[in-house]
Amino acid sequence: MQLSDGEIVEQVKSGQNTNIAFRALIEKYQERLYWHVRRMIIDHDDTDDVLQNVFIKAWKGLANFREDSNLYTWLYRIATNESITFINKKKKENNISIDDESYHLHAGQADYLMDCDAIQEKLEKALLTLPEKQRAVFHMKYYEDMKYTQISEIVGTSVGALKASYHIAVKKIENYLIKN
Amino acid sequence: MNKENENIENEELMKMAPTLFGMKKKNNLKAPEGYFSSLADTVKVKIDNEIPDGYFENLADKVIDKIEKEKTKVIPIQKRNIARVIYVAASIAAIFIVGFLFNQNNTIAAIASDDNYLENLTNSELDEAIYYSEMEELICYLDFEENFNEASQIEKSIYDIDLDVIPDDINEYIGSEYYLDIEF
Repeated sequence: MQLSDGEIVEQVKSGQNTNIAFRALIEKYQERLYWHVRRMIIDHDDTDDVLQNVFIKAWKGLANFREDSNLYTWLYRIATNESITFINKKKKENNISIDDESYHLHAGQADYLMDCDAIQEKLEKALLTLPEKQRAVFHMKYYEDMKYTQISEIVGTSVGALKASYHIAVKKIENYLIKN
Repeated sequence: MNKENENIENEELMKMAPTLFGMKKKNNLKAPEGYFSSLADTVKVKIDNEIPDGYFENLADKVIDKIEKEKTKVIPIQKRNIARVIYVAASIAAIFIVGFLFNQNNTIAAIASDDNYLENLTNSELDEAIYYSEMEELICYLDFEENFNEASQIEKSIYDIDLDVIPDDINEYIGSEYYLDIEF
């Protein structure tokens, strides 16, 4: 039986069945968070590291979790921040721009494109040209069909700014697809 | 998202990016097989093995506390006495053995010249010799343990002299020309 978010938080906070509750949390959100992080970072191993850190941070913060935001949004916020931090760290380490699609292609992280058809490959390459935060917004809106209000809570940006960001991302991708 | 909103957004997308709108929303990435079935365990192991927050901030204080506790650790008197008794007993035994061997070698001439060397000693003289040997050893041990007061008291009691007060005749001797003539 799957525990509700409220039950998970309550059990972790009460200190009873903490391990069971935390396992339930991981099993409930692991796939959605994995794909959210993976779409930003692309490489599986890096995604695995980041995702583990996301859950460790959640474990540490859950006892102080304020229920004024919901668990789902809170976890997404941690995952987004962790992903962006990871990308920025990589940027510094490699001294190149990760926004540049060449970063992923040269870093040997573009093997997945081998399995794509030509048009999908173009789309993936177009996504890699977006700045990381814009890419996160695009994924949440386009692939995960999230509401702007939800995305706004996750990335801490106003709904208006998010709409503008999404529209800019869509235009960039469209231009890339047409040009290439 | 309700149907109405979805339709509006789709219309917007169609106008803004017809190529993108015409494409399938397909996930081209793949996760390794079985990845999700083991993730919870992997995270749990990582959490269990994580160094607690602030561990290194308190480590130096903890180590210093431990050292201080070790320093002030009191050895129970009973334990200390047993150790002392064992030490003294072992020392006495050692003195007897060494003394016996030493006497065998060095007093052999004396013994040879006087076959009745030991027989000439009375029981009280032997007891006295043993007593002084024991006390000397005890004084050495106390000095070694830096219990100078106790050592001094024992020395005073067995030789009946006050080491803190040097008698006048010795002072006189130290100040005399004979003392200075002594070659070391």
